Formats: sequence, C-alpha cells, structure tokens
Amino acid sequence: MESVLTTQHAAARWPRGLRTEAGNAPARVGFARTTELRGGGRRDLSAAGLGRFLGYATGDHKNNNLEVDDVGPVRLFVGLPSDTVMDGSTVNSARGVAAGLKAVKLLGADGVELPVFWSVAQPESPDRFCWDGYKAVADMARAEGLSLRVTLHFHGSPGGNVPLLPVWVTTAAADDPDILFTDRSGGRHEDCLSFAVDELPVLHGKSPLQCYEAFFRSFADAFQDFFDSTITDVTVGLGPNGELRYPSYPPGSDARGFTGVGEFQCYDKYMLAQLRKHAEESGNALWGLSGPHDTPRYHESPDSGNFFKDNGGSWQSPYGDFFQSWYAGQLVGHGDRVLVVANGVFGDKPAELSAKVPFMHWWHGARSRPAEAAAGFYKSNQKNGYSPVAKMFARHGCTMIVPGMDVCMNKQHRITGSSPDQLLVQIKNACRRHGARIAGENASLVLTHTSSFSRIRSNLLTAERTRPSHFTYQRMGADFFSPEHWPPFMEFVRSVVCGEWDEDELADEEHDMASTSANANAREAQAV
Amino acid sequence: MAVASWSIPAIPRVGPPATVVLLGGAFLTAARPLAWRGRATPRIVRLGGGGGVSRAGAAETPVAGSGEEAGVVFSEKFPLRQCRTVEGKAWVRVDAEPDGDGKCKVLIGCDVEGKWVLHWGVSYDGEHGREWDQPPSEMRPPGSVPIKDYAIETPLDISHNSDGQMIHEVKIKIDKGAPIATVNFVLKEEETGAWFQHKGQDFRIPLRGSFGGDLLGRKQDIDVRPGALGHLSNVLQKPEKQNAEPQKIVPDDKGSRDKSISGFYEEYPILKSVYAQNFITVTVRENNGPNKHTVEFDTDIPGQAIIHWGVCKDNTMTWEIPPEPHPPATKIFRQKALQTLLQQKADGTGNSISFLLDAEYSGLIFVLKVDEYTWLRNMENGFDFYIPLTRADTNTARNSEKQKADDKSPQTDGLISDIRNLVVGLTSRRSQRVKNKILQEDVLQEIERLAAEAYSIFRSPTIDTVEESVYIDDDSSIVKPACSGTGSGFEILCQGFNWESHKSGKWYVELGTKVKELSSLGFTIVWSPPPTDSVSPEGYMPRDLYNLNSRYGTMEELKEVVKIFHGAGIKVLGDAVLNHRCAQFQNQNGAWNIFGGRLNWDDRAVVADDPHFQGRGNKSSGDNFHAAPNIDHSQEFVRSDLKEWLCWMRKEVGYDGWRLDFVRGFWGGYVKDYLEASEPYFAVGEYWDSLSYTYGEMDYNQDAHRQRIVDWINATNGNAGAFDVTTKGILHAALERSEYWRLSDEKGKPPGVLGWWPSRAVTFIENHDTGSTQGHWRFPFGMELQGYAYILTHPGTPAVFYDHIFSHLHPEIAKLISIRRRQKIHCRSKIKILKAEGNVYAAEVDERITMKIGAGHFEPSGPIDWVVAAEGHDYKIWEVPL
Repeated sequence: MESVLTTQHAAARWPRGLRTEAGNAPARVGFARTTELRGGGRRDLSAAGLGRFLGYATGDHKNNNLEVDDVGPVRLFVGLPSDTVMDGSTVNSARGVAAGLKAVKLLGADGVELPVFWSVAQPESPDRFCWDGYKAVADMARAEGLSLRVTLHFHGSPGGNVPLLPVWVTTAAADDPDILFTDRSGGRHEDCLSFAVDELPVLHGKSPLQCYEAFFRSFADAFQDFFDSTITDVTVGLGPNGELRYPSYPPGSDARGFTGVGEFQCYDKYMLAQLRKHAEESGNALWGLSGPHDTPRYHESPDSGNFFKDNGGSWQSPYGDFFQSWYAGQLVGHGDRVLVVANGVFGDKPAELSAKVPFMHWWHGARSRPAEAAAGFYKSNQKNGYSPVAKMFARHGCTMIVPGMDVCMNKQHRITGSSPDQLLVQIKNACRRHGARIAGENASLVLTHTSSFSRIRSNLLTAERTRPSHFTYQRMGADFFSPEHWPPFMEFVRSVVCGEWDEDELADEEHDMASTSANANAREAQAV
Repeated sequence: MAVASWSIPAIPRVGPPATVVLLGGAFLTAARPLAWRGRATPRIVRLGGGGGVSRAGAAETPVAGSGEEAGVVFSEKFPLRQCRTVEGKAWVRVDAEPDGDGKCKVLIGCDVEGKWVLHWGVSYDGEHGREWDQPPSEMRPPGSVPIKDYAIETPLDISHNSDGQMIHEVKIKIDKGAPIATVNFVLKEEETGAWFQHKGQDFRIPLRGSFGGDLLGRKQDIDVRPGALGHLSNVLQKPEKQNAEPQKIVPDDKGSRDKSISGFYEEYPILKSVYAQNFITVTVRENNGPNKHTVEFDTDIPGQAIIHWGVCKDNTMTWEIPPEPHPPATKIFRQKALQTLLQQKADGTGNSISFLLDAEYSGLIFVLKVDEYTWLRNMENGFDFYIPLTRADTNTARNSEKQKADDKSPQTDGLISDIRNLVVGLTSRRSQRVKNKILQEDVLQEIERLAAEAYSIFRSPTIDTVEESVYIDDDSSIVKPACSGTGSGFEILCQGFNWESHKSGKWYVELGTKVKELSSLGFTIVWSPPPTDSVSPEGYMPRDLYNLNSRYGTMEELKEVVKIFHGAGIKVLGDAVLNHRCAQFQNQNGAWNIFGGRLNWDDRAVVADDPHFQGRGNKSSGDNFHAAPNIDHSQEFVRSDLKEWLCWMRKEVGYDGWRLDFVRGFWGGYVKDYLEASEPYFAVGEYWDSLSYTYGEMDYNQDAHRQRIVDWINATNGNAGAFDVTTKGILHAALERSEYWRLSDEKGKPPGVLGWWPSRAVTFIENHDTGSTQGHWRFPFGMELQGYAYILTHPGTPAVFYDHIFSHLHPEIAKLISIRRRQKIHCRSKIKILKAEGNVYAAEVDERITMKIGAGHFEPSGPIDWVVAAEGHDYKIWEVPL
C-alpha cells in the first residue's frame, strides 16, 4: 500500500526537470490497477461479487441485496469469439479459449456467452446436426464452473468467419432468391431470410419456422445435461446479427459498422405480396404496390428524399404512417412467431429466455427517427418505436438485450444525430411500461472514444428498476486480451464485481497501513 | 546463464513464484518461514561475486569437497549488509546586502559526507506556478552543467567551517536588480543517486516580496505520508517534529515588502544511508557422538547481535523450537522461534556462539537481529538463511521436491484449492483481509499470465494447429526470405566462448586469431559473450549497459573482432541480457534497485514481485531470476531505452543479431518489439526450463516442454529462434540409457522443438552453462559425436560449442559440418525417421543424407545409391554422391 500511495503523488512531487520522465511519466496501467484491486480486496467481506471471487457461499450477500433492490446483482458474462466453433466438430484456438475461460473466471465473471450458429450446427442438410464443437466449449465452461449463455443465431454476420446460412438454405435461396430480404434496387441480403416466408414451405418443403423449431429442439436435446448445471440463459436470434431488426444496412456490409439511415427492406416478392394484401384490407390498394418511393439511399442524409424530412416529410402523412406501421408490425410479428416456438422448446428449461434488439442511436435527433424506422422500430404519432417490441417481449417473458451500454456521445456521432443517452432512456421506458426485463451488451470493445467502461458501469450499477439482469462484454479475441485493452477491462470487471468503493474503510485501512509501514522492515523480519 | 534450478535439470519448475510483496509485512506476524508457499529449497550462497550479489549457480551442493576438516557437515560464510544512517543538516543562507559588485549571495550547503550536486533553476518575476528556467549565465557558478533547457547542476565545493569540520557549499551570486523571483533547487548525492527534497517538493528560495507565508513553498501543501517519501529518495528528511519550524533568521525589517532581495537563513536536518559490509560464518560439525551436532555462528558485527532461529524436520520448512536445553541467553519468541544472544568475542572483533543440537533435525533456519528495527537476511535471495544439518538431507530434499513438482496438476487448479484452503483456515477479520490481499496478488498474477497466453494464441491462431500439422513451415522447397528467426536457413552457429573465457582478459583478441579456422570449418554465425560492464566476470550480471569494456576485452577490441569476423563472412551475435540488470545503488531500504550509467533507471524499472529488490514496476511477465533486479519490460521507458541500446550496439559494435539470455523472464511479445526495432539478421533466445519427469525418469512425451518453447517463439512472432532444450534433454536420455526410441515422437517426428518448428529450433548439445567448467547439465560423456551427428544432419539450425571445436573432436565435427554444407541441409529440411529402437536410431534427411546413431545395426536401402560419408563410434552417415 505504501508504495501505491507514493505512486499516486509521485508525479506531483517530482520537480520539473528532476528526471526526464517527470514530464511524461511512463504509463503505469498496472500500478493503477493494482491500487484499485487491492482497494477492492479490503472490501472482500462486504462486497457483493467478491464472495464469488473467493469461493464464499453467496447466500449472505444476496440477502443483503434484497433489502436494497429486488433485482439481484448484475450477472456478468464475457462473449466468446464468434468463430469459436466453425466446422461443427472442432474448437478453434482451444487453448486460447481455455486460458480465456480461466482468466475471466478468476476475474470474477459469472459466465460466458457462446454464439451458436445455424450454419455451423446444421451445415450440410436439414437432417443432420453437429453439436460436438459447441459441446466441447460447454464442457470447458462447465469445468471452470462458469455459467453459459447461448445465443442461437440463424444468420451469420457478413465479414465474419462463420458461414452466413447453412448450405442447404443457400441453395434454396439460389432457386428462389426472393426468400431473402431485398432492397429497393433489388440487392439481396444473403445473410437473412425474409420475415414474410416464416410460414411458407420454402426450405426443402419446410417453413423456416419449422426449421427454427427443429434447430431449437435439437439443441435442447443435445445440451440437456447442461441445462441443469451450466446453461443459465438462452438467447434467441430473431434476425440479422442476432437482433430483431430488418437488415436495413447495405447488403453484404456489417450491421455493426453501419451508421447511415438505411433503407426499407420490403422488396422481395413475399413481402410485397403481404404489403399488397394489407393495403387492400385497409382500403388503400394503391398504397400496396410498392414501398415508399422518396426515401433516401443507404448513406444519404434523411433530408435527401421527401420521406424522412423533419418538416412535412411523408413519414407524417397517412401513407407514411400506414407503411411504417405495417413494416414495424411485420417485425413484431416475426419476433412473436419465433418466440412462441422458442418458448415451446425452452419454456420448461431452467434458463432465462432473452433476445436482442438493435441499438439504433443514429439519427435519433431527426424527428422521423429514420434509422429506427428503417430497422423496423416505429409507433404511430411519434411514440416510442421500441414500445411494441417491448410489449411483445414482455408477453413471452423474454429479456430484452440492449447492445449499446457502452456507447457514448461524441463528435462523430453527433453529425449523425446520435443520442445514445436518449435512446437508452427510450428503451428503458418501453421496457418499464410493459414489464420487460432488460439486459445489456456493449457495441464494441472499449478501445475507442465512442465506448467507455465508466458508461457501462453507470448503466449497470444503476438503482433503477430497469437495472440490467445481466451484461455481456463482447467479445474475446486478440484485441480483447491485448495489453491496451485487458488491464482496463480487468479494472472494470473488478469494480463491477466488487460494487462500489467504501471510502471510510479505505481511509481506515490506509491509516493502518501507513503506520505499519513505518517499521515494515522490522515486521517483515519478525515474520520469519 | 546459470540458475540454481538448472543445475539439476530433473527438477521442474517448483510452484509459482511466491508473490509476497511489500505489504506482506503486515500479515506475516507469526513466525513462519517466508518459504511457506512451497518455495524451493533455499539456495546456499558462497561468499563472493563482488558487489554483494553472488551467483547461485555454482553452489550445487554446499558440502561438496569440504572435507578438509573432520566432521564438518556444513560451513559457509554469508555476506551481510547493514544500513546505517548518518545525520546532518543542510542550510540555505541569503545575504541580502549586495557586495562590492552589487551582487547578493545565496549560499547552499550541507555537512554530510558525500558528493553533492545542486540541481537548480530559477523562476522569473511575474511567472506563476512551479516552472523552472535556467538562470542567466552570469549567475552560474563555475563547474555548472546545464540539464536540458530548464535546470543547472552545480557541484558543491568542499570547505571547512569554523570548527574545522568538512562542509559542502555552493555560492550563487545574483545581481541585485535581476528579475528573479525564486531560486528552486533539490540536492543530489551522486554516489548513492539520492535526491534530497523539501517535503517532497523543490526547495524554493523567494528572493522577492513576502516570504513569511510562502517560504519554501506553501507549508504542507502536499501531504507526505510516513514512509511514502522513502521511495523517492534514500536521503530522508528527518521528521520535523523536533523542530517543527526551521529557525529563521531574518536580519532586517520584516515589513519591507518592496522589491528587494531579502536575507534569511534556514537549516534542514537530513539523513543519509550508508552501508556496512559484514559477514556471518556458520559451521556445523558432527563430533559429539552420532546424535548431536555442534552449530557455530561467528560474525564480525560489532555490538549486540541476536540470532532468531528455529529448526525444521523433513524439509518441511516449518519452524520448530528444539527441546531444552537451549543455549545460554536464549529467549523463546512467541512460541515460534528462539532468540539467542551471541557472545562478544574476547578480542572485540565481533560475536560468536556455538551450541549442540539434536541430529534429528534436517535444517536450521535463522535471521540475524541487530536491533529492534534491523534484521539481516540472506542477501542472495532475501529470505531466511537455511543451514542443512545433515549431508544426506540435501539429496532427499531435492528428491522429494522433484516428486512433488512432478505432480502435473494444472496451475490454476492448484491456485484455486490454495485459495480454498486458506479461506477455510481464516480466523480473525484482520488476517482474513490481509490474506485475501495476498491471494488476490496470486490470482491477479495468474489472470495476467492467462490473458497473455490467450493473447498470444488469439493473435496468431497458427499456434494451436502446431500439434495437428506438425510442421509449421514445412515448405522445404522454398527457403523463405531471410527472417531473424532463421537467418538464411543454412546457418551453422558457433558458440565463441566458454565459462572461463573471461579469465584471460583479452578474449576478443584471442577469438580474433581463430576467425580463419572457424570460417574454414563452415560456420556462418558466431555467438560472442555478453559485452557489457557486469557484476560477475562472465558478463551475465550486466550493470552499465553502455559500458562495453568487460573482462573479455575493451570495446575497441570487440569492434575489431567483429570486423575480422565480418571480413571472413561470419555474422556475430551479441549476448544480450535483457531480463535483469544489476543496480549500482540502493534505495533507502537497502534494496539494490537504483541504476546508474547512461540508463539511470530507478525502482520503477524493477518488477514488483521480487521482494528482495522492492521494485515499483508491474509484476513480472515471466519467471524471476532471483539474483538481480528483474527489469519490468511493461514500462514504456524501459522498452524504449532497451530498443535504443540494441540499435546502438548494432550500429556501434556491428553486431548482426542477438542471443537473448533468460527469455523465460519476460513475455515474448516484448522480444518481438525489441527485434522489430533492432532488425537483427539472426536472433535466438534461451528459453530453458525443465523437461518433465515421472519418478526420476524422463517422460517420453515432452510435448508440454516444447510447447512452452514454441509458445515463446510464437510470442516473438517467429522473429527469434530458440535453443532446442527439448532435443538436448531427450538426446541425454536416449544416449545415456540406450533408449533411442525416444528420438521419435508419437507421430513419428523428432520429439524436440525440431519436430514442430524446425526452422526456429537452434539445436545444441552443450553450452557454457551445461558444460564447460560449470557442467550444470553435461552431455553424456564420450557421446558428443553422436549428438553432433544428430544435430548436424537434422533440420534446425545447429550450434556447436567452442570447447568441442577446439578439442579432439575437431576433425570429426569438421567432417560433419562439411557434409551438411555440401548436401545443402537447411533448417527446414525434410526428415523421415527410419528406425527408432532400443539401440539404434536412423533417419533420412531430404533424400540426401541417411544417418544412424547407436550401437545397433542399420544399413540404408532403397533405390538411392548411398555412399558412406562419415563413420565413427556408434554413428554412421551416408550421402547421395554429388
């Protein structure tokens, strides 16, 4: 402790020019961390998370927490690399994963998140599943005593190493490209089946929904053993990038990197047919011939077409409301259908069901919320676009995972009208109103100025009722363990696991330490 | 590099390094040996090694060869170091009255012996804050040296005061009208490198305006905690309680706040640490019948000295109190240890005592207590002194250690169960807290290790497939463009020195005379000894990195020999010791961690996890080498200094590459950095840890061992090769016991690093540590040629040891090298093992060479028309005629 104190003041005490390093003291990440960790250490006995850390029984602190808040402590997960399993039977970088699991376990995380891909587990034919690789990872997690949140992805992510869709789905799409989402200019999203074909027998005589159900069921059977011990959460991927959304980004690009307005995706023949039917039913058959003609292109500003203009844009017109309501309704409908199936399979398992929504904070400043609308989040009369989704989630008892707990405001984002704070409030309001639980993820590794640990921390340690039930830090990999990232991450985890700082005790201890350090030598020697 | 654990290669690494750091002082209140976490048997130190740091490597068995005196079981002279403080004062006097030239005087002095330097600057009128500026040149006393653009260093002159006492003083003259607001300074003592500050800040002498409220900086505006200052300087200001306010002598009117220089005088008490070198000799005799030992302590410490001691049984290192009778003047200390007052020797030269002890104990553990605050420990390792009481015990100790360590349970599991055990045994809240801290230290260290491992794997996913695809770079037809991990691919390395080479004092010159011969033998690279100033003559305890005058010769001679080698077309590797560096100075606690020379680092450059050196850096990213401060490579300034140094050596000396010493001590990623910065032609690292053994027998599968080496190479991004310790170890077992089946792994490939990553494997059978006069792990005697027949025909980059070249082996080694060269065998050559049985091993390389070693029969067959190229005792080589 003594040495730590010195460090904190050293810079101040060094006269200018005394040492060459005085001006730019070398980076001392490690030291700062140690300070905090040691500090955390002295809170061992009272802090919430540390019981876990040292293997104490956790009962006590849970009781304490109940007095404060009936929500338990935030469970902390760390995402495994998305290409952990790529060919069904082997684990990539297994030794790295093993080391990573041990490291996060020792650090005090509750578990890890394992992305499970349809294209990996059922690659060749609709009849054969291959779970060996995933099981091996689950075994590793179980051996470390970590819980597991599995995310069942139906869609791969463009740019990743994992195939987008199973080969047999891709071949079906080659025969009938309209089962893929299609944009206004005819671009197809090869990573994503249109929501309109959910119940049509387009995949070798089966409907996608039936395939999803088979996938869920096969998973549940294969991992039966793990449900009692290890798997605590099942996250259902409801759309591209595992999120309930339209692929409103340009085809072939990465959903996570896109910050434009995006485009409506309703131009495959099945979506258009549904639109036409809906328009006819609502008495405006002409509205159902196509999507809106005056929307901006993917990267254009909201002002560049008439549709999303702040003032007098057609989004406010009856047609605009008609179209957007239908478009958003299709999204909720898809989520609803898949969650019904998921609940049918996982309903009796001792695991929390969750699904992810996108964190569409771009262009939040525009009145029309164009990015949200293009992704399918809309409610008439400028109401909360996340509200219908939250309502649907609540109905299924499904936790809503919000993947933007780390996003902070910055200049670059401001140009796009971003407002992560307001969006988070908006999502929380929607969940609170409808009674949906909320959970969190980060949008990116905290290595840039758009992402910060302190923001995650304040989002997690909030006393609000909408406090997240778990948070998953995404994700392990080379950057995650790099010397630039790992030390601050460690610090972050420890601060979350140990809860808040206890100033009084800290002061006490420092005093103690200071007085003992005076004759530290003597003590050390006595200790022989 | 010699480390004790290497001397017995059968002992795998014992447990994680103990991580009791400074704060450990608080929890260790019970009298337990510091080695409580299962640290290896304490090493016994021989006196010597100069500079207070002795090499542990040589002391394999403390009793070896000490038979001159009958019945002596053990006798050892340990060096001791004691810190004493000298009190004195420093003062500042301002003479306000201008002298004849219109100048005022500022006098700064001190009466403590030493080489004092004033490090100072000024602030001009109208400037705020604490910025320094250089004073105008007319103000600078003679002998001043500017430091960058903001300070001046002026040595203090020696003079005598009115009492005839020696004092140090410097006089600064200031124009009365000069626009100088304050003079700022700190005092520096050059011999110890210590800084003397005022309450942790600069001294400020206000020359203008009111000084009543702002004299020498605002009072106490920085809260200096007790003990905290100690880390900054080893000259402590004495707590000012005795004279809380410095005596101020204000000669003239206090009310004058005008712009005139004010006169005053102040004194400050200072403490300087000096060190006393002593020794203690411990002798154990077996003379009073079979069941008693006489233990004798003898020290030259004057005044009172107490040994605080206990005994232990069965190598448990648990302190026990022997039954009574105890020696005279013995107290029992908290039921845990005995404190025996040594008796003054008649001639007043020190203290001694001798007493009897039951022979049932295996060892005696002690520390020396001089006064209440001064405890002296084993300087070599910072731990308690350990005295073995029986001869046999040393061996059994090692054996049991060996077996314990053979238990290959994963480290983490061990750690977690450790944690549980400790948590269960906790009693008081206080100790619980402290212990948790210690545990956390362990846990954090483990977490960091795991993260580093995960990082290296995720960063370059090839590593994981090593085991699957056996050869990482198996494209033998294409020799890749030169990379510092491989050189040209056809390199043959010669280790150009042995453990005795420093003795002549002009090794570089001698080596220069051998260049022709080495070049005609076909060597392409020579590895030259560590060139820097070093505490040990062999060079592996570097001190001033920029001083290249060593026991091997001067820097000029070094440059000359490098030039000669280059002339002969041979590249030269410098032996770079980056893991540790010996400090020139001690901090105020007596720990050697303040460096001198051009890289005058302080304790921030030293890793935090070796308590002996009290580093303030981060924890080590590798294993610790306990005889010297381990450098904290995670510090940016350390890395940039080391890079600059390597580049300087490349340019100045002309080195073409590096042999990197003890790279186990720090993360390979840093090595990658260093290599990328210094762009060597060839680099090879010494990653030497123990192979795995079960019940004293070497395991067949040494994959874990080679994996560690491959991991290291991988962390360097393949920019360095590594000595193939695995292959050497397996060759030992195979040859010694005629178990040639060991030379083929489960997949039919060579079992060393050679089998997995041949282009980065630098194969060798002997070096200055394993052989030469140290002989820590000597290649089976008389079988060296079989070893060379193996490594010189196999892929990898072979290294030949100096002693072997210049010996009776010379002609046969020459023949083997010439075969390798004419058949163009290179580091990625394809190898096919033809036979690996009890008494014979045979392999075919690149379809150009077939070789066999061992007594058994083997003849090559097949379509190729093999011709015998070399034949000797238990080896034979055939080649394809050219």
